[in-house]
Amino acid sequence: MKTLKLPKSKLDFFAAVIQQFGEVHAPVARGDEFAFERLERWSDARLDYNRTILPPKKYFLPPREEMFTYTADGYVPSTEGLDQKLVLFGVHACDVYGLNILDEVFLDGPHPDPYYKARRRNVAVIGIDCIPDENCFCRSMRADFVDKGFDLFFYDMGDAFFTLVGTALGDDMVLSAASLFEPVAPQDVAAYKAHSQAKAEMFKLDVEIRDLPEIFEMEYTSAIWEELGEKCLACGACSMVCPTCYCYDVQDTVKLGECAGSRERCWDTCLFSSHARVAGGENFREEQSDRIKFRFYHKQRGFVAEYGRPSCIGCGRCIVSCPVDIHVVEVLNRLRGVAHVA
Amino acid sequence: MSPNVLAPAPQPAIEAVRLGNPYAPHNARIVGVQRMVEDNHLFTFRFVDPEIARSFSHRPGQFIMLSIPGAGEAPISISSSPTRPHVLELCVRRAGRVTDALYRMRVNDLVGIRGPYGNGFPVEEMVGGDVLMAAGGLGMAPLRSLLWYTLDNRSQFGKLTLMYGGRNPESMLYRNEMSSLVDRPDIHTLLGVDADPSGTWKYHVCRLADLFDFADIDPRTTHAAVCGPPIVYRFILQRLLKLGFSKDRILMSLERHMKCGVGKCGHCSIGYKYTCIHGPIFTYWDAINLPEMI
Amino acid sequence: MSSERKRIVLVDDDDDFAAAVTAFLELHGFEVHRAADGRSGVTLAKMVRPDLVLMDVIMGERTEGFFAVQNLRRTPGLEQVPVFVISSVYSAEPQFKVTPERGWLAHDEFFQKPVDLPALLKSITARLGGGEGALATNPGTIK
Repeated sequence: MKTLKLPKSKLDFFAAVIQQFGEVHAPVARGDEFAFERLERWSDARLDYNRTILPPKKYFLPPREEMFTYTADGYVPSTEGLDQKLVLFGVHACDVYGLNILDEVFLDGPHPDPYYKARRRNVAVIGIDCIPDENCFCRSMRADFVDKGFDLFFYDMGDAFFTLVGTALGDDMVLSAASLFEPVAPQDVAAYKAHSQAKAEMFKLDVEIRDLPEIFEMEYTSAIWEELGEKCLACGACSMVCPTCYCYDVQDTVKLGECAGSRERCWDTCLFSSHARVAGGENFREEQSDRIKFRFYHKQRGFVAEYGRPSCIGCGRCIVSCPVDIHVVEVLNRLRGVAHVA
Repeated sequence: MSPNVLAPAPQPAIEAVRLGNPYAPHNARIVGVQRMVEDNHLFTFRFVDPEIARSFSHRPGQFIMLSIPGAGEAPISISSSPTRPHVLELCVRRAGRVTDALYRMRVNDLVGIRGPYGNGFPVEEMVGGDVLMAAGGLGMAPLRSLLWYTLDNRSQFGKLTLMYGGRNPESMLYRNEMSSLVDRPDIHTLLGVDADPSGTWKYHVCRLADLFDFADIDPRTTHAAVCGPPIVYRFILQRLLKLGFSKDRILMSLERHMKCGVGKCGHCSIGYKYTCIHGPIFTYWDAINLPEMI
Repeated sequence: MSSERKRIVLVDDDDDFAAAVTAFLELHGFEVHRAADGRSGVTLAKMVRPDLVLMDVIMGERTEGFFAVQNLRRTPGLEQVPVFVISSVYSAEPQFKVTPERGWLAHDEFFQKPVDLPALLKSITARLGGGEGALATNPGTIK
């Protein structure tokens, strides 16, 4: 992979120049938290953020998306907004890892999702290094480093960024601002290694994932699920903020008085009681405890069976957004019989 | 003219949304409606686009997603066999918003159909051997595609046995068609009802599971395809296991809530499998191996 | 031929420079509105609906103008407004050698500071037609 160096002092110029590739979105402050939004001036960008409220998935699987319009003559696909070019500036490695997981679900196999595919093609991803906080456990989930899924990635080397070029588009971006970049020197590589080592030691949360599938099978009837079922409000916040939750509902809307309307899909969650309910009224996951068990099961074990790795990326968003403080690492460590070390 | 570098160029990715979109329903016309039993009618469809009508092909056991504009979409098993491709037959139970809307429609009305989806029966593994098809009540709807597939490809299979049971004669689907099979020498057809108040039933009066007493099944050479309400599964499985059937030779068709049909919306999940991709045909081994199966 | 004067929005944080350019253009029959930073420049353009925008790219923040041009382009109704960029970027940031000719700024013409006013006027006139009641003067260049 092509590597270059960008002095940190020139990052703003780079952001200015790459606007020709699309509308630049970056994490900006929203109260005490952060969110990806269109960048109107460089000083709004907060690249020192720990996490955004919603992950970058909102750009690829929008909360509400019109798939078709229909009339009495049938359904017509909607393409509005799909060709909009965006550049996401400052995506953390774990979130890129999350996008790679969504790629496996939405792009691989015999039925690739054309809406997701179009957005993935038109939204560029520029990654940036980060410092873990007390709710980050991406290192345990092996999501703290990615080698694909981005156009460029900036790794911190002190007063410059080590730039990895991931795609031809990333290369075009670098070439469009070639005067800003410098070649990487041996002392830069040493600086990167030192930084990487220091970062590894900053993680405060740790969870062993290697034999999670076996542990989950054995603890299928554990009392912990009843306990969580009592606590969980089924608000769905964890699913909304999760980078790899992708369940959706599809509804036809109707224009009053006409046989016309649209077919839309919107975010859904297995925590809602309607998720497993079939026509005729039977519900395969009636109990709250069954639903929260399913969510954990699918994310930490089920996904492993199909794709070889858990779909949890360790970003900590569910930890900070759960209104009743259900803490995923605590749950996993309890299942494993290990005391949770905060 | 401003060099507007922000104007997007036409893209193949956008074209893929317009053409070849896996979620796009194809127009199909209702060409026949037949009331079979209360709240379970047989609808026959033909695709409007002759190219699609010509190229649509399915495996027995697969399903389609049926769209009624304004009502939504629902998965329906295909009852017709791929060996008779000119029309698409769906035996639809009236159970929710989409099927309600379908029941209000008449011949010549337009619906949307896309598919086929699902794994279908593993016919490649079943050829050369015997096939037992056991259906209870409305379970005949998905099983019928396999029934006619085996009959139309008769030379590829060994012994064929059909067991079909219902509460009473009025609750049986395809009644006349089933009766016509009884005298065929190429399939052993056993029809049974729990009770026959009208006294007109010409065949067995007993439980579905008891029809095994009249059949000659070799578990080593037979694949058993079972479909019906939960109570049917329980008793049939008991008999099959008692006979010595291996768990992966017992095939079941399961239903779940579906919104996409292609393994993306998450609603049809059973444990960590998706009914629309790994099913709807599962083996009994899958059933006991995956949590929350039956 | 319109009886209204052509409107120009000038976005520049240098008061002296802005005053001089404004006077010059008004003398040549254009109506000039001025904003001193990128954000208010975009707001002004939304209100005034100019026929042309003159924008400095280095203002409060040194990339302010770059972002402001992009914002203009994404404002409904202003996507096609001609944008002439005036800049001291190469003197202010000598290491920044990105050349604007490659179309990365979504602008129409680029003028280096110190600006040659007759050349600027010529380009504006070529793009918009003449201003109303233009006077013939020779003001030279303004730094």
